[in-house]
Amino acid sequence: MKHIRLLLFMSLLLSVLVACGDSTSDTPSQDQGGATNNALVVRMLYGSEKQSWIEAVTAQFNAQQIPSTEGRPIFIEAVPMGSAESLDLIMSGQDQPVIWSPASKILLPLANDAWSQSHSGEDLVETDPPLLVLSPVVIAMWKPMAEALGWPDDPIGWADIAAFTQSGQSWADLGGEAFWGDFQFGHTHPDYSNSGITSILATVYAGVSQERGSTVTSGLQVADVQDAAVADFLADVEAGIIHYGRSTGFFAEQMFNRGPGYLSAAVLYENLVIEAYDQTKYPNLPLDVVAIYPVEGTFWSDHPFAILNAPWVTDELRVAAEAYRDFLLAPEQQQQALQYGFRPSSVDIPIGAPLIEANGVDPTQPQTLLDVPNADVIRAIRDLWGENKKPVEIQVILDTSGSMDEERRLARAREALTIFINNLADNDYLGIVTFSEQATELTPLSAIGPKRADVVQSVSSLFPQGGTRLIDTVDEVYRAMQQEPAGERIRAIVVLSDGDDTDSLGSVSDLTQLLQQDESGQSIKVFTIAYGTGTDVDVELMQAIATASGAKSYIRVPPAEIEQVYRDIATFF
Amino acid sequence: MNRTAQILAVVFILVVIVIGVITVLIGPLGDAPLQGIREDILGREPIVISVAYGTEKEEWLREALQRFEAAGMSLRGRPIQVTLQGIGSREMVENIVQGDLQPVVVSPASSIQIELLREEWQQRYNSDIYATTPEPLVLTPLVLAAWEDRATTLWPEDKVGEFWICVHEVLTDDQGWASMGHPEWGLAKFGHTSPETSNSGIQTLVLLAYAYHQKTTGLSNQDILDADFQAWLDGIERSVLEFGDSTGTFMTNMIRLGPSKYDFVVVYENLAIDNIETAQGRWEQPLRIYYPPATILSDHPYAVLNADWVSPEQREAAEIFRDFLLSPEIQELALEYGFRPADPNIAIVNDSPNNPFNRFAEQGVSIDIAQQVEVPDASVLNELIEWWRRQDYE
Repeated sequence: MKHIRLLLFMSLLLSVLVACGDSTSDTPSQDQGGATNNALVVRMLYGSEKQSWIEAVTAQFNAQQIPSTEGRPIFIEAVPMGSAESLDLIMSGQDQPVIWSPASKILLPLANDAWSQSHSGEDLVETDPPLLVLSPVVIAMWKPMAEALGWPDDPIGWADIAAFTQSGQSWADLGGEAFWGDFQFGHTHPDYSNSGITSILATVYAGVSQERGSTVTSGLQVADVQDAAVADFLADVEAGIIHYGRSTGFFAEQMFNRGPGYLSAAVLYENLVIEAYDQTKYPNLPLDVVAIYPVEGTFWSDHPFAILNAPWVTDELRVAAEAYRDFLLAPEQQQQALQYGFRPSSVDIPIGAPLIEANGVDPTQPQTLLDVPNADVIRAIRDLWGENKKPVEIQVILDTSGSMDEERRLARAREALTIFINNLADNDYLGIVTFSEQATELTPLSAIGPKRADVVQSVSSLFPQGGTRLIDTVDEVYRAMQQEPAGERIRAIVVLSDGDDTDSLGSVSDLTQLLQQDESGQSIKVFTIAYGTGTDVDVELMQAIATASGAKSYIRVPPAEIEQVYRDIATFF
Repeated sequence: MNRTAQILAVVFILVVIVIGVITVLIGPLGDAPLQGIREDILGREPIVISVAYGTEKEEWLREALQRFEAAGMSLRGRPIQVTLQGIGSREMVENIVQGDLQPVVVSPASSIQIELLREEWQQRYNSDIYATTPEPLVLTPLVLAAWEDRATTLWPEDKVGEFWICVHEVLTDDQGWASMGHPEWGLAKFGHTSPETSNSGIQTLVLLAYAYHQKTTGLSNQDILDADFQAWLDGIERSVLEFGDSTGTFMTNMIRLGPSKYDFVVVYENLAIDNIETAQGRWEQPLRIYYPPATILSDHPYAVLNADWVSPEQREAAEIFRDFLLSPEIQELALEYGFRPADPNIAIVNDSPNNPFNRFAEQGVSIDIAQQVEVPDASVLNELIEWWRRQDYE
């Protein structure tokens, strides 16, 4: 099985390679202005957590049109991206930036490790580059909930969060309000985001501590990680996760917009907690939110600024990147970073507002750290998570109407779906319903492991024909899925359709009302893909369905990009 | 009016052309007055001296250089121009021996590097690298800098007792700060720079070795190889989350990451003093400074090199800059940056409100320097560094 999964992984990489270049998500923001014709474009991939600061100061830098060593105006093309994801893109050769500024130094040894294997032992980045800004990893929680757990008098740690999740207790059991429901916890996907990696490292530390009966904060070895009791511990904690996600900012937005019924707490950065009090961004924050600095220790998100030691980085580019680095570290830009809720790298700037108690944070924290383990231990923890993460339950609803013949839509969708299926874990549940003027169950909702080859086979034999019965099919699948108990699995429906509904009896408003009834974080999310570039796609219908369920919709997706979309949806699981 | 302007313009152009032609014709003929002017210009060409220095004293040196330039110092009519090259002290030695760095003057943190360079240069080129006797510019001892809440918890009476024994005890307690009523501080976390790259790192290991063997002179290879000593030192070194490459950036990291990463560190006194107030602005508490019972002084020697890239004029100019640095004004300036003047005639305590030795007495800054340990010879230092390297702490 292991080598099969490796093959599948390789094919996923390959598919991403093919999809590269036409993705729309990585175009730089308009705020940076445009590069003039003869400009020296210096590309930077950076952790999206610092996007607001980077966009503001980069626009200022680009406006100066500082000449390079060859006399060309320097233009910084800054692209925000999940930190682990940018690492993957650089390693696979899909992206060739000059500057890499992930959220954390944790990723640097991993990058050097991977790079040196294909570049005769050379390092990609220096291991101790300058830091741009800092922000500790915190557990963001609604203030009344934190108080129910004893905050601020009793210290709260990763082990407490784990124990609460494991206990199966609800907030009412702890004297909280009934409408808070269960303890609903979230962290990002460790393959895409730095805070996701730190979350699982911290959980494994807590698990090893429980196993040894004393608090462990350093010296983690691969053998500790491979202990069966630690695996069980991790699985228990992950069971409390409502779902994963691509970026830390995404979680912050979900939590602050949807309120305590959706998410009780999430692993975020301190600066995002401060941002919750920004009334232009969150005019209706339902409750105060506070940053909990875990008592066992946490990690710093320290935003290193690394200039790549790669063949495409010329001397001219390097010198230009250094000029930009010096600009970012100059007092004015560092002072601005504080305004965005970061702790400046420059220690000469005293910490003050907005980094104050009134914004839910404590400038005298954190008081202790968890040690960053070696690259091999981090990899072992990532593998352990892969085996013990919360299983998923996905219903795929696939349009096989006659119009799916255009632009090779169904052909492309079949290929992308095959890759998606192949990336599910054996104990993940998958069901597929196809529809034209009527719905057909291709495979019932059950574990994918035993049936994987059969399902892939039947997907590949689908062909386009007939009308479109979209609304009723989603309604039926959703109601059936609702019968399954909530919370044991991450539940989602992925709808792909290219056309107007021609054959349903029910209405859009009935369907969206049904979807809106469940407001909890454990609710079934309905992702919609409005497929194809034609004008016949009912974009509004597809958006309405996704929004009502709290999921994301993908609009007018060209067939060539369908794999990217499935990949994006997969970060949720 | 318009006509007048036109006439003036024509006259001006004619004059320019005539002067141009005269210059072209007479210049090459070697006319005596013009030749004189050219010599004069050459004579005022500056004498450039490059100074490779340990980064710990960067701020003082930069301020001193500004004053040097303002004073317009010159040698036989030629202005003296100084360029500063900050570089880690150990790196400095290596680069000069390899031929990658060719300064006129070296001023590393400590005499240890001066002797290492002398020895390695002698072995390779069979000549003395120094044109002048190395002279100390400023002095600074190694100190322990601790966050105030950590310090007052550890040493409530402000008495450290058996200094390093006490530190070792805290660092190796597997209950950490919980033993002292502060579980939220986690394990006690120590810090110093890497002995492989930084002078203060190797000095710290030397102090620890002397402390374990309870002596202040004659540290031997045998002492380093002692298994009990190695186990004792290992307990301390395991409590360090990350070692720094150079003392200046390491000190900054202590302030940046605060007590979350380092409870107390061993650094130069001047850096600790320089950061007392910065610490307050960042973490709402100052640093406290403690002096080990025996310490090592960094004396920041200034030595002019005797090498084929150093001209006699450069050597003379370098001595003028040295004398300027040792002048009372610049020595007193060093006090403001937390250094002790090398000139014994300059009092450490004076009535300047900027003098940190007055201002920070409450933070533990003290005038008296403790006993100094004897600096061991190169083979003992190398034994210690080699042992440390093998443990793979980094």
